[in-house]
Amino acid sequence: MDDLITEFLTETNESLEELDLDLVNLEQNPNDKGLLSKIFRLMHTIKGTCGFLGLPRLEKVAHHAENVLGRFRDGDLEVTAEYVTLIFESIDRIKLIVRGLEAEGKEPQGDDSALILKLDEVYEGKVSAMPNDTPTPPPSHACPRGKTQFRGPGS
Amino acid sequence: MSEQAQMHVQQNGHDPRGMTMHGQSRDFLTIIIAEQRFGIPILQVQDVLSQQRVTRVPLAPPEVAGSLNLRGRIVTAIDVRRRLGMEPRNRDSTREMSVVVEYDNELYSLIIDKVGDVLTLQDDNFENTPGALDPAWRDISSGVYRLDGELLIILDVPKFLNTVHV
Amino acid sequence: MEKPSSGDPDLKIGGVLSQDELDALEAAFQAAPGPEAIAEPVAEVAAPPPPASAPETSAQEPQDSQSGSVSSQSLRVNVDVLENLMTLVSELVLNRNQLLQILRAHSESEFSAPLQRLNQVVSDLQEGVMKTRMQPIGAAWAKLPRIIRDLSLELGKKIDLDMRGQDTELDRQVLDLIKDPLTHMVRNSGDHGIETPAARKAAGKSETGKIVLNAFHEGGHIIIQISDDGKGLPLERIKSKIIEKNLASAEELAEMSPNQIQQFIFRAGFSTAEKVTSVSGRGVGMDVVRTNIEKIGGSIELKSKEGSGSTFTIKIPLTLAIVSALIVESAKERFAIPQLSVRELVMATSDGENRIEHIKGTPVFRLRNHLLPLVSLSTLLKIDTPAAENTLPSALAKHQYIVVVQVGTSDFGIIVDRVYDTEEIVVKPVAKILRNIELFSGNTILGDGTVIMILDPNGIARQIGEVDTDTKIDSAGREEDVLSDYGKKTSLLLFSAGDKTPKAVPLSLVARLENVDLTTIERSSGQMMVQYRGQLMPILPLDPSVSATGEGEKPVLVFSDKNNSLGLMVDEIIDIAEEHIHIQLDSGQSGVMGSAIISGKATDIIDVGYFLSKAHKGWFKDHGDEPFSSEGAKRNGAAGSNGHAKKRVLLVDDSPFFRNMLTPLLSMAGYSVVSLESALAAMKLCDKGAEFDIIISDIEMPDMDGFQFAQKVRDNSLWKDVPMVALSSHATPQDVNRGMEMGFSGYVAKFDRETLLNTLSKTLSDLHAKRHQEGGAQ
Repeated sequence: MDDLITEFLTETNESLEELDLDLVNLEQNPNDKGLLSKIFRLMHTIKGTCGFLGLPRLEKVAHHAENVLGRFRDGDLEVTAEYVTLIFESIDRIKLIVRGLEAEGKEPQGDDSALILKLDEVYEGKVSAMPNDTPTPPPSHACPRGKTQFRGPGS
Repeated sequence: MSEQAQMHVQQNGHDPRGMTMHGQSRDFLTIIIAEQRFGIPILQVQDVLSQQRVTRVPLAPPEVAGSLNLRGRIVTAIDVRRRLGMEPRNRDSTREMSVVVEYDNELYSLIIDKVGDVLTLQDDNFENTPGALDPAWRDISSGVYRLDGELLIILDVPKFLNTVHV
Repeated sequence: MEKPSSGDPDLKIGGVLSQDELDALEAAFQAAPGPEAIAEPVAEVAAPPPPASAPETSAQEPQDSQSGSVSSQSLRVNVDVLENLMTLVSELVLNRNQLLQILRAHSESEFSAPLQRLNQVVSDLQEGVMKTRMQPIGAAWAKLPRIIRDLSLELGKKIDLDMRGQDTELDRQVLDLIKDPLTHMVRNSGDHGIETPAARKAAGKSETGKIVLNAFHEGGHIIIQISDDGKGLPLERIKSKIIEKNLASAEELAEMSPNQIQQFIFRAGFSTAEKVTSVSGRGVGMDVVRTNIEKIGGSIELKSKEGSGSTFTIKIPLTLAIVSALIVESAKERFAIPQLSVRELVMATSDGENRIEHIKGTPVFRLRNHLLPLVSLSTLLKIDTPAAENTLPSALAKHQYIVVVQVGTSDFGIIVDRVYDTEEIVVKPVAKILRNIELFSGNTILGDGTVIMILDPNGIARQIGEVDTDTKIDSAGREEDVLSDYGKKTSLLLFSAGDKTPKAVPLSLVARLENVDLTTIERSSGQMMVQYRGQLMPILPLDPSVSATGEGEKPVLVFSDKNNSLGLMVDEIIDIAEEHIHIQLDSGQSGVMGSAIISGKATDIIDVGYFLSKAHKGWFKDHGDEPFSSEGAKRNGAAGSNGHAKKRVLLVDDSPFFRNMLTPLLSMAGYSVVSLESALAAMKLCDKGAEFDIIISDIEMPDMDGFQFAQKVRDNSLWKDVPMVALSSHATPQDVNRGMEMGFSGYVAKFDRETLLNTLSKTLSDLHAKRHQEGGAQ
């Protein structure tokens, strides 16, 4: 595997683990500006690196999640459990893609449009609260070829 | 051997049949078990040992002769005759020899009767394991080479060791 | 293809999925990645634990504290490099050992000094490299906050996760192995332990449940505690599950303490969750957790109180790679036993006090009044030489060694032929083909270059525990185990004498078994006696129909007191059985305490006390015309010190077995005994104004235990000045201290009659002397 990619995977796995922790903290301390910008920056970095390395699927998810985080940071979107869950969903998706990348050396195929739609709706302020009736697409949607053996989000 | 072929061996070492390309030749170490000559792809052979001090491993499967120390690595000794369900070797007549192979990141020392020459054989002469071959040998072989008047059975190391595990 | 996560696959718990490999990677690389470092392939930064893993610290963390100063102090190194380094050091250690071995043979060698220096350097190097493998346990905990967060949302619970001591370091290999069990247990705590806010409120607790993780070092171990203030383990549900799964009978359960019942959750196939939730019901039970922890030489204990929560305590070694091991030999083969589990070494002689006794082929050894089950290593490993099998065990060797090992809290002895030195060994995993042999935990190369197998005491315990499934439970129920043998299985010696009904006596009361040549029996006034260890020992037939005439040998059970022995002659030794005994008390037949069903047969339980008093009355009458009671009293100083009045003893023990065992013993020794089945009954008697000179109390009892009883007695009751002696199967210093604090003046093992009698008499005479002194001073 490309050294750059290997490096990226190591770093990203760490960032993702950190994001998990930071988000749990953020939920408990929604007004912690430092924490918010750190989370934003971690996501931003993932997005940026993915763009640089040519990993479009990852970049897209990270980009849309970053948008929502940006609104948190700017203080015009309240940090609620629903929104945090949505960010977690994005992180889980990123993890899923990263695992595929790790296993096969390239991004696994999959459809993230439902997730991105939800992120965008929040970002554009179309929804005041997360609709509960839009479930996360199960991982099988994400890997229609069924070749990869990832676990679902949150596993 | 060309570098390309070497690469090939490393990647597909578990399936020597995958390498039968025209015009290629491969090197085999010949070993003798109960008068029968076998070939082991030379790249899979780590070492050839004369009789070693082997530590008995209680409760181990019968074909496991024990463990030995090869330059700081622990090697599991497999009694090939036992594994193949043959008569034990006549201890007086021959000093046993071992061929050390690596499989699944572990070293195994295959205790055999004798080690023969290294033969370079053309892939063109390779044949799939004939159905008429003794079933005990058929199960552990990946194919044969016809030498003048003699059949060289290619020992499929993973097959051989895998069935040990069962 | 180089997968960064493929560190060392051999060391992982079986059946781990790819995600866990990733976790290993995540754990292996501690991170504080600055954004600028990400696209940079070379400079990797910073090893200290991510501050963010501590919820309470991350909030205080300044906004842009990444890397910077830390990077100049720390380097990131690939795990493979470290592993390789470790392998090299291991080789070096082996070579060092080899050199030292050679040196031992040449005491005056000029290499001596440089080799000693090399030895030191290698040790330091080894320590240094081991240090590089150390990782804060926080790395294994990093995922937990998220898991608990998701769990809270999913289950509608409020859960606080408090992680303490996450900087505590341990070997990354160990860390890898405990990560999954830990995660599973924390999930369990959140899922099954913590109640819903409503339920908590109803129970008078705060709505938010708390899970506390704590890690700290203790000796060569790391202790990890996982506790919650949830609902605790539901005893009744566990009970019905035990019965449903046929793990124990209702009768057996009735004899067990709550703690012992709770230990059943570690049994294979046991899972208490009423419904399989998406969270913890994934087919992995606590048995798997336990197995995984034991695999790395650790242990797990559980304490739970219904209604107030559970605490799991895990104890694991800091490192697995290089351990100190005792090298032993059996049937000419050498084996290593990890020093951590070796408690002591005992040399057994073929004759005399320290001999191994064989009862129907089962070897036992009497170690300080504690019956130690033995297993011969050669038998266990089936490496007996045929010649040895045919020889009588007693005549086998001049002396053998017993390696006393401890697994959990149960001890057993491994019989070996020879014991060598201890050696620092580098543990290497056994080849896959040998991995299913559970008696070995690895193999290693000794200083002389020989490969030897490393014995796994846990595996051995499991193997020999197949007969005695209780060992598994006991090893976890440490506190329980130490304090009480209540509800525990009792080893019984089964024999026949007279009629067809099998008879039994607790093995622990039997000092030894002898075959007595009938022609050597002397008779005096109708009393049979044999010369035994330089003394005359009275022999009683257990049943009048046991014939002691003619030729040949008869088995004799020898019971021993300080100077006195008694032989009970029986017809045949049948077996040793481990049973929960439920004695049906039955006073109809003298010498029989009652009957119990053992191995499916109605069996008479022999009242040893009856025979002891019978024999010794006769014995002393014939040889000194002195009744045993006064002789015994004089010997023990019991009754004699204060005129002729018998000292009054109150015996409190909930087990009828022990009451029946000890009452005659104490009466024999010259005491007047009142025995009661509970501390509550004793307190009632106290309220009525009954008077005693000394109180003997069991510790583990239902309703009110011995400690509580002592506290109550000391708390200004009528008996507040009456000395108290605690009874227990075996006591740790902590227990003794606690007992002393509570007001016990002595702490005695249940089967240790001699110490019990001595303690009684000493306590009484001390008291007498003290009173006398006080009286004199006035």
